[in-house]
Amino acid sequence: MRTPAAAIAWQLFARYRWYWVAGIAYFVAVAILCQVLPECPFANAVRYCLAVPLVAMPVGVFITLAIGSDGDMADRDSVYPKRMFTLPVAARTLVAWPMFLGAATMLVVCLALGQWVVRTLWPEAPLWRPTLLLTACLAWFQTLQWVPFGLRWLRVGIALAAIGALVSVPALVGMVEPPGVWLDVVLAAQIPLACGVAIRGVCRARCGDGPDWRWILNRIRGLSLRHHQRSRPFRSASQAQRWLEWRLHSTGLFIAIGIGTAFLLVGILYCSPSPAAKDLPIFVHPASLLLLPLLVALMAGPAFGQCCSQHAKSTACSSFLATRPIDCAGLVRAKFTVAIAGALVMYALTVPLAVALMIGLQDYQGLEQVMAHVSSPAEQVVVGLAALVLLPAATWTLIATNMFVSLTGRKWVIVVFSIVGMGLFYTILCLGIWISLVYPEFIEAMVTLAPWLLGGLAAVKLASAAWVLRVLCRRRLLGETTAVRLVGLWLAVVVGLLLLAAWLLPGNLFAWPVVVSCVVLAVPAVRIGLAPLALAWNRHR
Amino acid sequence: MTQRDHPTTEPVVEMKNVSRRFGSIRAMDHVDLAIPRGSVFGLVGVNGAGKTTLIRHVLGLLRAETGSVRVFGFDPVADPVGVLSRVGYLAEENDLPDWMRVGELIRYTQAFYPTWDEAYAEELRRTFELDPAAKVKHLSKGQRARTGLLLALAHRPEILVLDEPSSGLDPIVRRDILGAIIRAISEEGRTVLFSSHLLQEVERVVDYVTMMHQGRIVLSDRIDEIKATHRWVNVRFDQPRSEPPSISGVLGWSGTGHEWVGVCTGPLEPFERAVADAGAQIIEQRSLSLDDIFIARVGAENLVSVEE
Repeated sequence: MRTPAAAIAWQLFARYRWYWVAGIAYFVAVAILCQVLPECPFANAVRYCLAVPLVAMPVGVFITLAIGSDGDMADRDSVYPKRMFTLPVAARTLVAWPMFLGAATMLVVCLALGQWVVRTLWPEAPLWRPTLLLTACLAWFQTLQWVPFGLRWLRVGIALAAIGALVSVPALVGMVEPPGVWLDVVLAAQIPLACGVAIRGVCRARCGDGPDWRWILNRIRGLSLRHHQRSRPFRSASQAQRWLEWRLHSTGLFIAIGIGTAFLLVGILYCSPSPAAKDLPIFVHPASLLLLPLLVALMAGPAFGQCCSQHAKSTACSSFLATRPIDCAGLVRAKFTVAIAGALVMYALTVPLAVALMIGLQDYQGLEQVMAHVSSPAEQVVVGLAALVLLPAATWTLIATNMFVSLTGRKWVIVVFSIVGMGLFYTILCLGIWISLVYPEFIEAMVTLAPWLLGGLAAVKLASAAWVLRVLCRRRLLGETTAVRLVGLWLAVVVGLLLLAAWLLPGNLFAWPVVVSCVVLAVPAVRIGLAPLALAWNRHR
Repeated sequence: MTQRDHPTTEPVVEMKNVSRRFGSIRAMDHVDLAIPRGSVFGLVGVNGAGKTTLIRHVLGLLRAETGSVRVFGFDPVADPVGVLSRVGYLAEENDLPDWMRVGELIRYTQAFYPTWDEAYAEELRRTFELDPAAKVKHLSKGQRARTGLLLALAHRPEILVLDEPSSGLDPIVRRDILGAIIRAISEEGRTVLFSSHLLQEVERVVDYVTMMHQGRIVLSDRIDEIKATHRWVNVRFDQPRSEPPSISGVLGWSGTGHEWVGVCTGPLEPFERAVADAGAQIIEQRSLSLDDIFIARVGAENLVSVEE
């Protein structure tokens, strides 16, 4: 490498090169599939399914190009790596090249995604404005990462406010009158503006000249100290552990919900007011906010299962945690309890926002479709109440059932499960599409066999659950009384869901063996039971 | 019925024939060890000798591949709560949660130990000058070690396990740690197991020493016994020699010609007879520091230098 620019580019991309190779390969495959897929009743549904993981590509640009994104964003200091400050180059080189690379990569990624994937689903989709918007967001994200701040957490607050404003102001303007070219110019101008601020900030950070406003905190420090002295001891080890787990994972949940909401708001505020919105997928309607916690839970599960130290290279259980005198079941119980709190808090944040947007935009897409299948008002009330319980329950299930892999603390297990899981999902999806297109009669045969297939799967699940329970009891990870209680609770949930299904589902829609098998498969058992076993394997290596 | 209802005269820690491999590396090789109650037990060895692996077996963080580990007569893997609630542990890497404040860390840890002594914890906090509002990540290395020590001591554990506690620390923090060990000894029934490669430090406080090398115990005995049975000797031969002499009880020779120096173990009289039989005489002999004995035992290539 002969120039600092090439060295910086290499450093940025080399670390994530395999992710990029995989991402580009997947994008090419999806782009080709989207173009060649023959039109059939569910062709668009397949395209959506295949396109959803591509959301990771713009996110990947943020992670790759925001140097120091693995640092502590709440810190006062610049998160630009200190080792790079000692390089014999000007601050403008340190700032301008990553920003230029970021803008160029984001433009290429967004335009490619828009042209070859999004436009196959929505031919009139705007291309340049969302691209410029995301590029401006990245530039300001980089700037805010690299500029030193006077107080801890100030960066997070300003980042949320700045990027939130960048996203929502054009959308709000657009609701009043269609914005002209001036909006694109304003968005494009954000990049040099952010670059100037970043150069100034990095110059200051480089010579340790960051602002220091801690005197504000010092004023209330006395209060803070008294608070620490007054804090009552925890009543039990379990309560202390729950506190620790909440402190560890709640911030991540809030950030994920915040980022997810910001992304969804872009779509909702841009698309929902348009007359063509009815034909657009759920992602651009306020009801999508109700599904956001489910998406966050899918990613939060593995994070909840981690027992390693923060910033540790190893995924093994930290010795600090492993030497706490609490059994593995107790540690897992704390994680499960905090997952319940997390699911409830996520819905406490998203439900009011979704309702406000639905009322404000008069957009009930999604809800209307669900309620259309329910005839009486009594049933509508029950469906509403069931949704209020089942959505957080499903969110908790996704977190709890995805914990056990990372609870093992073994990188190879995590990698194998991720690859096998994704591979299996997409193999089944692709196989299903291919069979349905080429041999539609096979699908009919499968529908006839469904009760047997589902029954077989349910039987395998029950047998596995019984085996896991036996191992848990034999290894003294679970007391017999607790095991009996858990089995009772599981049966109660299954019976409750069956009663709900009996009342809501029309009698001739599904055969009862199918309903029973589906409920048995839906209520978690095996992976919940595997969690303490995985932790014991991690803790006692 | 709790474990404490069964007072025992058995060793606090007992390992029998414990082996452990990590891939192709044999980290522990048929280790037998017994740590008597009330003793200060030093574990010494070079980096990678197996000290931390041994300690992690004692804490139940590693499962013995072969053999058995008993702490207070119980298996630390099968009964982690029963064992860990009676153990105070200061880790080498000191992986305290960075994001916690010292006050929060104390409050959190307190919840796990019914024997937590709040007054003692506060006394230690003041002695170590720890600010309860300070975040762990903003503490210096010495302050982190002091925080870890506070957490390990405040519940008055029956056994204190310290893994390289003073590695990389300044003399004042090392003094604090040694002071804590001495204080723990002075209280009835306390046992201390600590590993270190600062042998002078070990020598000052231990009753028993175990030297480890490549996963094996090369020497384990009372410190005074070890020091009494190891001597540096300077031997002069009547005829010049090109190769070191073969005399039993000598760990290694160094020298050329007439004069050779070596470290001998065991009783002195048989050694003196063997030297005389080889046509030589002992012209000087001295007792050795633990440092010298360690180097003679595990670093056999060059003979030890003796402190003048």
